[in-house]
Amino acid sequence: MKATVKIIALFFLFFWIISLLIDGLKHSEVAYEMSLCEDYTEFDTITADRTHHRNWDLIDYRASYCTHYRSYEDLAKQSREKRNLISPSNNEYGAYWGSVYRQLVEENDEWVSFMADSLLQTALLDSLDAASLAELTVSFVQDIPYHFISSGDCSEADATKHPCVALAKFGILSPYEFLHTLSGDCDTRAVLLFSLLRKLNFDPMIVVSYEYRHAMLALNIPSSGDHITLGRKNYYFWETTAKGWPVGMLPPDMQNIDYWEIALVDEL
Amino acid sequence: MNYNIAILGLIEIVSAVTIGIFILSITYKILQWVGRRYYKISESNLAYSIFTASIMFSVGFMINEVIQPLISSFRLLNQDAASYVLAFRYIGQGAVYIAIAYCASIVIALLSTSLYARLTPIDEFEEIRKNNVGIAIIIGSIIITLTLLTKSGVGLLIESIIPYPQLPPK
Repeated sequence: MKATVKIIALFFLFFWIISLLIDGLKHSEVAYEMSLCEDYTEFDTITADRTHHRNWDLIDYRASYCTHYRSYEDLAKQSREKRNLISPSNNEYGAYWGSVYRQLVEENDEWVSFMADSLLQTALLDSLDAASLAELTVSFVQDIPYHFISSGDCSEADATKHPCVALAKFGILSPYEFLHTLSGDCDTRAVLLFSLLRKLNFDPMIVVSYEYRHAMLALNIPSSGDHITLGRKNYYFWETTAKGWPVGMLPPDMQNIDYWEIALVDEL
Repeated sequence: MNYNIAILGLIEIVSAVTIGIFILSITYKILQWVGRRYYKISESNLAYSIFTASIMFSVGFMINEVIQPLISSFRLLNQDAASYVLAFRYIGQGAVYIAIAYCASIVIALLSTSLYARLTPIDEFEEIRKNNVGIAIIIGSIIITLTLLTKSGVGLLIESIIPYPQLPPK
């Protein structure tokens, strides 16, 4: 009887402490305002420019954000042409992709500034801290539906019923093309996020895996969970191809860190 | 100071300490009860203490696999709900994970003891009751070795029930 009472008391004490800590976790966040809008794209029938309206939630759904931006067909075309001229400088897997990503980041650097500025503005308006700004940026990209980007004819993607962009050199779109078309696979997303986060003064990294046939963002921020270490810095993995993935959490079937290699890091 | 990480750290510490104390005390009580009731083993029996210690180590080591999945589950919880609802969900998920790990360690302890009993002509529990320390160390080693070998499998089993977000097909 005495033992049962002790166990019940222990349970309630544990429950109370956990509730209290969760409460603390919630109050340590800024009280966000919900700003709902719809996801849609307006097309300019003459210029083929697009105006995207995006609404997305933060990773744990504690807040919702809204933005709209105009992207220009002629810039997307220029970006595509530059992508088609990229020549990888190395044959080794990680270095090969690293050189492709680097050229994409450098060539689109100015064209994605508007998006970094917009995200920063949103963060400033809501007094978000650095970690929340990173989450705002990554969740914006996670919210965009996944598309296969194929260097071939998309036949391999047909079985999955996912939309696919065919005949894209290297099987990747440039950051500006991604913002324009809202079509992106794993590395397209990682490259856009690398560009945006670098502009927002973060320390991002792109990691690739030959074994998992996947690319991912990794970010050097104070966090916990799965990470890759470079020098004395820990870069936490961040899955970007679907909604709801928090920083530092690798998908369960991709958890062997040895299978991940660094493709691109900003060596300041 | 990053408050979110500090609070996550505190949740991990509080969970680990509570789970540890709860599981180890229950295991100890059960083993003491089984020893007294079925094998008439006294509390001063060194061999039975070694056997108990190895089972407790096995249980603790297996429960260790629960902490990380539990924190992952917590981070995947929808923070939109009230704090007490989140705490209930967290504790509920934790209970399921602990049950899996606990059952696995009990199965391992039973399996290793019965396996050793079948391989040798001697009655192990009779020897432990007679305070045969050598037998207790050997059975304890088997339990610990099997726990080390099966730990990652149990971890994967627990990982499989974490509600990870869906990924697009490869």
